[in-house]
Amino acid sequence: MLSIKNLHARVAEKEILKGFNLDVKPGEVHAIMGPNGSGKSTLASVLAGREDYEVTSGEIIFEGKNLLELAPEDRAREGIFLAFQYPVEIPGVSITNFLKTAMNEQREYRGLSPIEPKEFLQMMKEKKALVEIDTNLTNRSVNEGFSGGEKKRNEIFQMAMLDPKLAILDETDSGLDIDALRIVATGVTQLKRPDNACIVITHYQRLLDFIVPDFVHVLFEGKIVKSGTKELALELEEKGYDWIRKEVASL
Amino acid sequence: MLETLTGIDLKEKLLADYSLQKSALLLDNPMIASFRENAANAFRKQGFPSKKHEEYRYIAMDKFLRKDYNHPLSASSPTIEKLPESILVDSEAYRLVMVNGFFAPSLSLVPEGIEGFTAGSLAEAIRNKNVTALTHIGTLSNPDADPFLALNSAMFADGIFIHLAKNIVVEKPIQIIQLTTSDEPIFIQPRVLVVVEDGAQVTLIGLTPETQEKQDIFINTVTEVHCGKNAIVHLVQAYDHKDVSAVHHTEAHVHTNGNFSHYAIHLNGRLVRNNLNIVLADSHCEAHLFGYYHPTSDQIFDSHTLVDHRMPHCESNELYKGVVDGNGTAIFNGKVYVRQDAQKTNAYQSNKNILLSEEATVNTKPQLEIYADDVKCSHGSSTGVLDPEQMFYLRSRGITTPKARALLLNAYAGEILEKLPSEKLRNTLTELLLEKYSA
Repeated sequence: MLSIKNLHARVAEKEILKGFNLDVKPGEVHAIMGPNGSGKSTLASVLAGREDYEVTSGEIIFEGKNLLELAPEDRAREGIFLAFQYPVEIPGVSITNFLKTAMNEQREYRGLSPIEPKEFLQMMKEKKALVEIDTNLTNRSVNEGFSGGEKKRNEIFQMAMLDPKLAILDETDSGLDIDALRIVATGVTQLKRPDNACIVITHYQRLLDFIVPDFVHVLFEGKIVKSGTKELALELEEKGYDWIRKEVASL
Repeated sequence: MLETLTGIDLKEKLLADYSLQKSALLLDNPMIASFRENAANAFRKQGFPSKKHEEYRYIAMDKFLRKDYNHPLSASSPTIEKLPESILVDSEAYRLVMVNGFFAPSLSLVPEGIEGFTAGSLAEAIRNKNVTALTHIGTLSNPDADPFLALNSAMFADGIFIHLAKNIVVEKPIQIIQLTTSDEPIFIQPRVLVVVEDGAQVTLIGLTPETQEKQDIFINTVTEVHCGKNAIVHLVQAYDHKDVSAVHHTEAHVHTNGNFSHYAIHLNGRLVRNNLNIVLADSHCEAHLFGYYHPTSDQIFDSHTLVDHRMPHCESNELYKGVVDGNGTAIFNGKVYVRQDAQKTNAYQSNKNILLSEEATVNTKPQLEIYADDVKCSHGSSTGVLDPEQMFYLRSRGITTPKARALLLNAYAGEILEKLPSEKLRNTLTELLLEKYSA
């Protein structure tokens, strides 16, 4: 589904990703962990097509297409979804209007007619239940005045509505208390299917108690230095990132 | 005088009309005659403003005045037979239609036989010696203050007169529709006089819509509003005509406990200059000023507003927002005076602009002058671009750049449009704006 080869990327003249490789197949959940400044959020930004990040070499192939040639909106329409670490407030645009527009723009790209209002409302109702969002929230402007937990739940709600092939969760656990974490993680787990995949970017292991990864990768100074299964995450939690630092230094 | 050289031919032409067209100008009425004479002198002295005129320094007025304008002083036989349905906010509500500045009874729907409620032709009211019209016309405005105001005062030939006696409440909004039709360039000068007595309530929706003919049209309007004690007045002035250059001078006086709201919506026009002066003449008055402007290629939309707090315990609240695209120009000059007697004043003013192109221009100047010491006042202005973070967020959900832009601009304008006192008008204007965003 996704193949990243020897990816180098920089922001404001500073090279952050230095030869990043990753292969994601349908049905898989990959966790990417790493200390602050290792390049986790840069990876998410490059995948979603944020313009201030410059890819200097390497390639990203998604479903047979060169992702780096696609505008952010076309990446979304091809089936990529980024759950933002810091969801943006958009005063004056209601969640309902925003999602209906997004959904119909994606449908148009796939040659489908706009969604029937009734079907849309039914879908909203179902997906709201999934992340325990109450109706008042969806009548409000996108993220405006939302608490940290509401913002993150709203990201997963959008993910549920847009049904992407590949979801990238960028530190979705940051700033969440344990109850919100559980709701968000349960939502993500319920959306898992054999034909979709998920990349979970996180600093801490605790999210992975709820979203169990098939693979765990440790990102350090712009590339993956260690890969393993979910046990690797536990090891990191126990020993901290210094252990990795030492191991890399000794190579 | 050197500084008044702009549009000098038009000036002479108009002043010649003034001397010759005495009956069209209702000069047989001595009250009107002396008011006119005073105004004509003021215009003669001031002439059309050049860029040296402090209040007009950002507009090359000459460009809009150097046309071979005809200056109609009587109603032409109406060539507009039917009103476009789309511009009506309520087909059953009263409407006052002007064609080239002259009241058009056949297109209008006026109250008949309702005691204390008059609405119709201003010229007719003066000819019929309507006491309210005669005692109020020109009393709020000083022709020495502005050349366009002086010119209109000297030479308006018709317009609209609305009078609500004490405690008369008109439920549905009254539309004031300014239509134009001509096969040659025209310079027209309607006058609107609104007298709302104590406790009366009315909503007025003024609109200058697009018409078929493509001609140079200059409209120099003066609107005077008397808002009595405990009266509530909403006044919308919307311009959506690509070939119109307009100067609209509005003068409103608000009395004890009165509440006056003004909405300036500028969607299309070559030039739209909004001169809005509001005087809070007694205590416990409220004024609300909302504006939305969206100039694109070569369009200049200019608002000069003044709120004059003369007495204590009044509140004014002003929000003007605009989007400037292409090589359009927006100008905002907002003055708030808080005089020495106006203690316990609350006065807020804000102007916000979004630039959509490199060639777009905004000149913004909020001004606050406070002579009282126990007041709450604030003012501010900002000019920026669409938030790139918001744009990215929308695009990351599959929304194309033009659609994302339209969503954000619609939300931005929505803060003003949602204040409008008519839902139908709000929907009509929102649709017109969406067309403009996607252009």
